[in-house]
Amino acid sequence: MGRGRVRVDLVAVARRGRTRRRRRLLVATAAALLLVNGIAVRDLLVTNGHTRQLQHDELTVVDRKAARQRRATAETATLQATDAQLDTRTNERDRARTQVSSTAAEVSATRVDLGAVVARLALQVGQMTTLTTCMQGVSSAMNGLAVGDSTRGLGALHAVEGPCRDAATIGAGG
Amino acid sequence: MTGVLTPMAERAVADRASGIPSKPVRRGRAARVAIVAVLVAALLTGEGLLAASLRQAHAKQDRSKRALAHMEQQLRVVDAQLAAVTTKLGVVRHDLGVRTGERDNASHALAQAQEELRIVKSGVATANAKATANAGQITALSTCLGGAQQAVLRIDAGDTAGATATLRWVQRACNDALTAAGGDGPVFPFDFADPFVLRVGATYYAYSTNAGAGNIQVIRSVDLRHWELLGNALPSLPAWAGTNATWAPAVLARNGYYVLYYAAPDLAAGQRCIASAVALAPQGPYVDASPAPLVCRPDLGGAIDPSPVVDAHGNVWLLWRGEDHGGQAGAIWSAPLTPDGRALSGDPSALIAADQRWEHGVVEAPTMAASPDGGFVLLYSGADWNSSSYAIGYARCASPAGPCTKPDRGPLLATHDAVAGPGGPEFFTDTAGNVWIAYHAFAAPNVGYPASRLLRLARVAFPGGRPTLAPPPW
Repeated sequence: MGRGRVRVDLVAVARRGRTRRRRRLLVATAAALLLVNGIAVRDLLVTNGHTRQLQHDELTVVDRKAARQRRATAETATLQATDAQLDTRTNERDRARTQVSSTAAEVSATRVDLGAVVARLALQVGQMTTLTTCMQGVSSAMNGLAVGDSTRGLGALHAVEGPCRDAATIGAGG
Repeated sequence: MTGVLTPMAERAVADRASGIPSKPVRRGRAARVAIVAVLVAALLTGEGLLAASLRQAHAKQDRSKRALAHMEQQLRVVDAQLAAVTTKLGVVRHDLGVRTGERDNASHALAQAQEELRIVKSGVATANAKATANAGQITALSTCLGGAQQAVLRIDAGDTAGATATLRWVQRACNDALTAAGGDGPVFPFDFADPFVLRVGATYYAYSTNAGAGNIQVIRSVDLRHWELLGNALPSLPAWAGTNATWAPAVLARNGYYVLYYAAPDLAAGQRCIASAVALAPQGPYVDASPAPLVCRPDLGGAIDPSPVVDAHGNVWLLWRGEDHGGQAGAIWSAPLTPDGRALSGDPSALIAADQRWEHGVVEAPTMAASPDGGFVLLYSGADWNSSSYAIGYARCASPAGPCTKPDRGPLLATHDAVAGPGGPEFFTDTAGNVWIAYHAFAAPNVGYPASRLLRLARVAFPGGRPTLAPPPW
């Protein structure tokens, strides 16, 4: 009974040693797993946080893009309207320039007409002066002769002989 | 002690003594080991799950990164588009500004050109109108001149009637040519000195000193502006009178006949005297069969410029100028007439003499009218009739027999503009009762005989008793 007892005890002791090692390994494994899991959770949280931030950033960019697109649309519409205005303004300018040219040409032509009429007026003034001078002489002659003053009467006629000769060449209507 | 223990307790004691745990202890340890094992298993499972979640999270993160990158790329594209549009818009706006400026400049230039065109066209229209008027005036002048030249030939041949007919024929043309000025311009184109206007109903007759149409020229009008040459109102002169100097006629309308007063040379006295002639119609022919002048004052140098005036009582007076004599300057006289106007009925009274500087020693051509504020206004001419210094002055008289005073130190109407040497005034009234004067003036620069003295008219008002003259309303 003694020898067997000792052998049993040695086996038990050995068994207990293995058991202890296994338990310690198990605990260590659990601890390691806990640690790994903790790290994994932390990574997951961080990753999710980053992802949410990225999503938020994306939404921000989407909003900015939409705003830019709206602005671009508005600017494009403004550009088109301004382009149309530019076309209109260009047409107005060209039309005004054309009118200026035609009006200037008309002014020139009218000035030519005016020059002709002014020249005609000058000629008429000369003719009227000639006729009036002759007429005054003839009237004076008539006045002198009417009171028997032949000397003054004929003198008045003689004084306007030249204008009266010119007057005779003036056709009716000047 | 051993003897009292149960077998089991003995075994436990033995196990403790040999270092072997007791059975309950082993059971507790096994339970903990199991728990740990379960925990390990759970941790392993959790780790797997976490790993999967982490992969998913990473994948999601990658997708988000890519999406963000894609969106940022799109944003850059949109930004680039926006920048391009904005740049282009800036360019187009600049161009629009430039174009608007060009358009405005062109519009301004157009407005200026159009205004210039309007002015030039207006000038052309005005010049054309003037040229048309000139053409008409040249035609009128030519016609008038032709007639006047024929009249001169007839007068030179002693054919006064033929001359008058010729002048009547061209008178309308002469009117158009010579009396178109309006204002205080002449209203009759031929010499018409010392005019007198008589209104008979709505018709006006004007008489003048002898000229182309005869001894006493007579013309007629219904509007005072357009006059028709009638001819010679005094075809023959009395035997005592010399020819070619029948001056300053005036007519007094009586009941059924008209008395013409005029000045003519008294051949016997060698002086000018006043005669009268009678007609049944205002235009004549007047007949003077008198053997002697009506007024002839050899002691006062003779008499000219007769002018009748009727006072508020119907009494008729005759005004005239007594000529210079014996170194004495002439004066204005008046004397009452018989009701028939054919003879003086009282002694003459001197009204005024030349005593103002502008008169140059001459007062003549009197005419008198009742003043609205009582008394009479006497108009007269002063200075040399044959010059531009000739002018019209006035005096106020208590009655046609005087006394008279001259309120002003200068003439009432003197040379101005083309009106040179105005004189020979005579009052008359129009159909509306307005007071006028007829007078003559040379047309500057043709001053002095034998240039024509042309008939002109002026309206008269008496503000404060002082006569003022205004041009006709046409």
